[in-house]
Amino acid sequence: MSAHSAAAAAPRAWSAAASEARSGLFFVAPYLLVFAILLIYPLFSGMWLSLHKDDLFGGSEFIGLENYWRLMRDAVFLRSVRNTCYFVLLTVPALALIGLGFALALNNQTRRSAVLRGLFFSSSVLSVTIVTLIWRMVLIPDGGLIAAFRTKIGLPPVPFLSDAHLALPALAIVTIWWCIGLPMMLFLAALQQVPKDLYEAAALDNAGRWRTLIRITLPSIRRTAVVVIVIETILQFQLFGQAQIMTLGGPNNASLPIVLFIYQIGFQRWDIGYAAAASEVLFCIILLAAMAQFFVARGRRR
Amino acid sequence: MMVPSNRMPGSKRNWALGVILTISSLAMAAPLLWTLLLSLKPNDELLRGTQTVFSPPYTLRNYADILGHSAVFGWLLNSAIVSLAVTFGVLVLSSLALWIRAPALSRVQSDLYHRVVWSRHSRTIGDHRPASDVHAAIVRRRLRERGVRSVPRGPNEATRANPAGLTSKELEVLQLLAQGCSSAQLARRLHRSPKTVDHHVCSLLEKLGVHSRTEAVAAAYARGIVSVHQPTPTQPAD
Repeated sequence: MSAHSAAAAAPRAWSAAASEARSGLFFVAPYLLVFAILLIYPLFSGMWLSLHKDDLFGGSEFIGLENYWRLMRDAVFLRSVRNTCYFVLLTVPALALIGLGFALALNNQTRRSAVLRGLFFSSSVLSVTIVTLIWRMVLIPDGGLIAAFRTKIGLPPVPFLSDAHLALPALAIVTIWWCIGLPMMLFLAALQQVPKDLYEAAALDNAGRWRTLIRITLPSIRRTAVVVIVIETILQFQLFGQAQIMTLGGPNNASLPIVLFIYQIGFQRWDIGYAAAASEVLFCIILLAAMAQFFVARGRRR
Repeated sequence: MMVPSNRMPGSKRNWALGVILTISSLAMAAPLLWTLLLSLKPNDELLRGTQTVFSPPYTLRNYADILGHSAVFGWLLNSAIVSLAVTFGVLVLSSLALWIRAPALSRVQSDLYHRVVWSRHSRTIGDHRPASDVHAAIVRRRLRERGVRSVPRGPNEATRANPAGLTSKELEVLQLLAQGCSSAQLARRLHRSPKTVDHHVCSLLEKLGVHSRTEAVAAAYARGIVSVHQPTPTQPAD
């Protein structure tokens, strides 16, 4: 009897699953369509474009991997790759650590913490144009905020944005100031998810603040730390607006990031195929960096 | 004895934290305040230098100029249209894509609910034992009849009589917890080490199926294990 009813139920369950899959597909279809048109198609057409010599005005010629060989020999491109990696190293660890520090310090219900959370997040709502405008007026040697302070105590003003060694660190400081809100919020959310009984158990065992932080808080928010680092790496590899508005990649390409290189090649010199090849290289770099972090984090847990 | 020696480094640490937070909030706010001050100065004055920024007179002329420039509102409208359209599009597409998960989610939840609630019921209320317990009792009896000594006997008589399968010691601890005792106080009253007391607390939390002492006390009141007018089981508060 029971075997019979199970046999009868099986096809019904199967068809119910099939109809659920059908209606599910119907619901997901609009998203998939937009995803395909706006993401998948450009991704592959970009790859196709990178194999051509193309100027968007009609002249298109298949040249295979020639664009990529050119990139490997292009000193300006290699400089921009170095600049971008340096910039990522300057910003991502700082963003993660400062964000974590703020989150740990402000993870309580006092009014002071609420005000400071608002303040530290406030810069994140600004657009890149406003951020760079504000910081130009802080950094410029001719009447900027830092220059004004330095002249007041008798020091010469520093030309942050036109010094080859200071331009990228200056952009990094601007970027940290601008982006610190998101890591802080992610870490705050993670800290609130840590079960209270873990802290209770730690308090019962008379664990100090430091030990509680090392043994309970940090292991509990490890996944969020990975997410923060991956997100910020992806974002900071795409540095463009700050460099474009504040330094134009100068002086002498000292602060030229990859995306600005792509922009100049593609939309100022109209060498679209070459720019597409550079974009593919950037895509691979970001993919590798993000995946490396992901696998390192997963491997450590095992 | 312990408390004051613990508090000293704590307050010093809080003081250091305050300093760090003050410095970082200044660093965060300084560019914004600087820009605000610049916006309150007429442009021809700023072209000559920024020495006068920290001293009045200030003027709202720049803001009046912006608001008088009618194109600004058109630009604001553009921004509003774009951001509304983006928000709407993302919400519609993403919630449609999420909708497919909804039946699966609710099925999992109800399944979980049944399992958790029913298993807990049969364990804590204890008036109808699940069939597996009866079988286990029969097997135990037969094993003993054949001379096997080390058959677990299950909870003792007193424990079986207690609600939620608590031992008498756990019951005592729970009653003291309900009076707001800390670990140290529990240890003193029960003449046990804090470690032992914590073991009792741990196992009673598990038996009640709760995560914290506060929840345990709430559950105890809710189930009538502890009542408001209960006398203290051991000696009165010191």
